[in-house]
Amino acid sequence: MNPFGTILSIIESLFPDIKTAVTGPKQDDGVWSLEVDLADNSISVDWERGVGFGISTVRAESYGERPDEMYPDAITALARLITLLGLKQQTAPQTPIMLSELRERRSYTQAALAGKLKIRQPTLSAIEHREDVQVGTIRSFVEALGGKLELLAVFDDVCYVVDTKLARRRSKAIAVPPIKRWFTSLSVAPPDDEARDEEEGVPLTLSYAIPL
Amino acid sequence: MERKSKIERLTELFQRLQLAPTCSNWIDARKQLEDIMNAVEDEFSGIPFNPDAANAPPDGRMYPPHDKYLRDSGSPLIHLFRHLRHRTAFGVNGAVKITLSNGTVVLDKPGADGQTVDELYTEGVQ
Repeated sequence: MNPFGTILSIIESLFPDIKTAVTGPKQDDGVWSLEVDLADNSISVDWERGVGFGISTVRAESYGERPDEMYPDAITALARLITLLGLKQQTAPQTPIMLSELRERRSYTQAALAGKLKIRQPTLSAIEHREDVQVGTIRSFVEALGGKLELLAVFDDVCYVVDTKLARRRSKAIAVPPIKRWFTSLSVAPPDDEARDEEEGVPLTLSYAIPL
Repeated sequence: MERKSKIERLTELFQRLQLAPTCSNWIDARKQLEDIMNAVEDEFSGIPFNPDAANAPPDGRMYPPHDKYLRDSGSPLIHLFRHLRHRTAFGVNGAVKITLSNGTVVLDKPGADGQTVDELYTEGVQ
């Protein structure tokens, strides 16, 4: 049996130049794999009985991880696959990511990004390996890569988007319970006019498990 | 703890594997890869080991080959595992070969008898 029959017939008709390869497991309860290559976009689709379809964009740093995204059936997996191929998008694992990995995924060298941020390359390297980085610094980093920083405060019943541009506002400490592995607390220091760094804004201290 | 990106950790893994003693059977070679990968991840990932990782969502840590990714290698002398980007082949003589999905070989280490995975393939199909 080939669990990718429907997916294969449709994507091969939609994308005539696509290259596909299916491999089956040696054991009956193992994982089937479909590898898809279109231009420079490589995508791996897994299927496992009782689990469903997993989809991942193939990246240089992959080894032994589970798929980035899971879909319960072939139709939803097919829809996602068509989107990824058609729009040349990449899947995103729902896991914390280091700043250096973020930069690499956006195809920037340290030197190129440092130039864009108008800082020296060793300074950028220090930021990437620092245990505690100001939110303003992360925001600049992400924006230089072409993205936008959003900071979530996640509770069991609700999520809040935290405003990270607090430089010119009075603020008070905000306690966030340790509800997610990578956010254990968030506090905003009260404004200190003498110490305030206009460029960076009010210093926010994040305690998290992700290596920033 | 010094934290490293996945690419840096993979480089560290391949370097340590290359320097590790050769193995005389595929069980030992697989165990060696597991031990070294887990050591590298413990040292540099900052993410705790999940013993049920093969059935859990990704957590950002890399894990050694799992039985459910075992493939038919085409040779009784080779045990082949398929991963997202890598293929890991263990020879019954302890040889190990790790190849990117585009064919680039990142590790090709002979077993204790000096034979590589490719040489075993040739032998296995004769």
